[in-house]
Amino acid sequence: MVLEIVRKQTPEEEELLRKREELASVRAALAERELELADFRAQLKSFEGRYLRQVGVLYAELDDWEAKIAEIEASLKPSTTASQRAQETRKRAEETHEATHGEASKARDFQPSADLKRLFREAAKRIHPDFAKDEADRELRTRLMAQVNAAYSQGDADALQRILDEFGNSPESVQGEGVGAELVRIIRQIHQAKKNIAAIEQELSCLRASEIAQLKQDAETAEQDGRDLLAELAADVRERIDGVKKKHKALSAELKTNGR
Amino acid sequence: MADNHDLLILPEQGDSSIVLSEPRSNLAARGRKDASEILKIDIGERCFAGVMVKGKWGFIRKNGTFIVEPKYGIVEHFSSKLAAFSYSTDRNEARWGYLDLSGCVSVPEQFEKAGEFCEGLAAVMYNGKHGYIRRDGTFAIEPRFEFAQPFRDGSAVVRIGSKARLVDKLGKYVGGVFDAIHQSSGRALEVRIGAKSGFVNRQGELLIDPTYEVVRDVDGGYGWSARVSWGDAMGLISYDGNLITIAESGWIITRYDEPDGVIHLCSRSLNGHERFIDRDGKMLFERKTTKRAVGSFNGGVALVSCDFPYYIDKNGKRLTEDSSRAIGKFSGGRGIVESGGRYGYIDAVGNHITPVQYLDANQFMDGYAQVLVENDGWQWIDINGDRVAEPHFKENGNTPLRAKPFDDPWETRPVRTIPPHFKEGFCSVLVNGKWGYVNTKCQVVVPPIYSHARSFFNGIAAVGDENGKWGFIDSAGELVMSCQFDQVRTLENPRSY
Repeated sequence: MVLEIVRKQTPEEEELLRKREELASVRAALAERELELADFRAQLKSFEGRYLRQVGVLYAELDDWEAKIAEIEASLKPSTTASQRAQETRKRAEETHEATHGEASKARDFQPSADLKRLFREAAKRIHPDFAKDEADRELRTRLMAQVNAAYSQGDADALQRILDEFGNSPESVQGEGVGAELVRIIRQIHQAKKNIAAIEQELSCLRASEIAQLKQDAETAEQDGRDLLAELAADVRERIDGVKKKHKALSAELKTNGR
Repeated sequence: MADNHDLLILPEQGDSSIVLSEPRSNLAARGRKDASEILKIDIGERCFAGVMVKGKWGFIRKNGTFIVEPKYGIVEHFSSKLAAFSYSTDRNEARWGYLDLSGCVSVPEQFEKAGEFCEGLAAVMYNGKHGYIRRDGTFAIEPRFEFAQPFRDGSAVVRIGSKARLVDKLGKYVGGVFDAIHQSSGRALEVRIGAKSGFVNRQGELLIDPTYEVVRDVDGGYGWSARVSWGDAMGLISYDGNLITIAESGWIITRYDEPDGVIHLCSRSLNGHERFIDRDGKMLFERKTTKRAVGSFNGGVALVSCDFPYYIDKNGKRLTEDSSRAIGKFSGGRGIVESGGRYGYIDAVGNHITPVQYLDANQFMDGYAQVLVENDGWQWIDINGDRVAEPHFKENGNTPLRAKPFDDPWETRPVRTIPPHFKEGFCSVLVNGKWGYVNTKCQVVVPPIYSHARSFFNGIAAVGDENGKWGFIDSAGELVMSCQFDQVRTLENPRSY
């Protein structure tokens, strides 16, 4: 009879095994939520870009005409209120112009491929700063995760792969770590990851409640009815521009008459 | 471990832009607010267009199925999302009600006459008297007038017996009692007592006492409300009811080019002079009346029509060279000049915007003009004379639509829409007497095979065949509803209905 000596696992080792499994599961869940967040941000960014290019520019034009009108009105009937109104209207026009013509308006359509999503999931699981072992590791992961997010929003699968390759050469675990120390570390990581999942949920809720997300939702609903909400919105603003242009013309004539 | 999730995850660039700045957030909120108003107008699946079949109007969905079978004799245009209708086709016999945008009856037929909704109220005739109803069909002002006109700026002109008055939206009379009140597109209304006229504003306040005789061309699109006269003198009343100019004795005010503020006067004596003054009465220039007629000023420039027309500015200075002939009115800040059978454009001070090089040229409108380029066909140029589109239209990108597009410019002009009027990225074009559509790159996307073609709306356009029947095509040129309707009326631009 051959007897095999099997060392019985200590309660700490059994707990460590369970916690490792739990950590793996939490990592997957966190990666999934990070993907959802990154995806939603990129979709919003893309929609916002379209909105700014299609409608925002028209609002900027409308505000500019309204500012011109307020300025003429202030010239025709000078008063503190009229002057203040002219200043406020001009400020708003400048803000709209700035908002419309900034970086955000350049965002292009975002349609992530299945491969891009797979790479992001993998990167989030492996690189997420929540799973750092020490402060230096956390710094590295934070930097890489920022690159992962940027690469994803740009639909750059090659960049994601490069980040993963770079990270693959980093040490995964700390040698010489005792069971007790590893258990404590994993428990902290699980706790932190769960907190972050909750934080992501909250951020997603905030993003979904944002005006731009609501507008996107409206546009999608309208699209199901065969309507192009942004096109209709643009047509509406164009009409209003025509209206204020006429008013501006009339006021300009009045101003000319008054010799101001 | 750090407890700062955002700090850990947010990248240094890229996604962080979705954390909206205040102006962008406000802009999004603004769009959403306006969009919610637009979405209230349900035009998609419910009602797409009104169509006439065998003399009756019905309403169809976008997929071509009827939401309301043809049964209405008359449907007027939509105003404030409601349209007056009657089942009868005889206007004298008709009883009127109102339809909503889905083509369903919103206010049942009951009125002898029904006007458009303006400022929330519509003038109707009920039991021989006129009053005003709200959108739900209830009376806001009970019918008690002999006649009632639409509301504008909070008041409306009504007639009681033989007198005219203004009434507000509560039915209260504002201002005085007159023999007549004439509406105009201006802010002032001409009021008449006996043979004398004055002016009131929309609140009924008297602007000018009724002491003048009005030369009968009130609001003729001349940039004034009226020319008034007293004795030998003549004055000009502006749109807002001010007497802006008084002509010297012996002079007649004949024209007012309102945008440029130039007033044209003619001497009462035959073979006399003509004079141009500004709104303050300051003389701009005077000239002996000849066969050379000075046209309206537009953008500071007027065309002088004669055997060899030319342009002048507001001081009477000639802008075109002696060798160049001016073609047509100055338009869009540009004038066309012709020399040696070639055409070009000048600006308001006479500078050449393009060389005199085109075989033909059209006026600028909305910043574009169409020109005929030798060996290159018709093309559009912008206000700086730069091309804005492909040089000419080619069928399937290969063959020019006409081998010799400039033999007869009127017959062969490939595009009738001047300036290019694009809707949803398409512009209807006339080629060899048939209509098709081009995209913004001037590529033919719907071949010219239709006798009529209207603008695209929500991806669909109404087209008519040679038998006078109407149908609908999609943006790929496919007939989604064959030409079967006697008339169609799409609900283009829902905000205006």
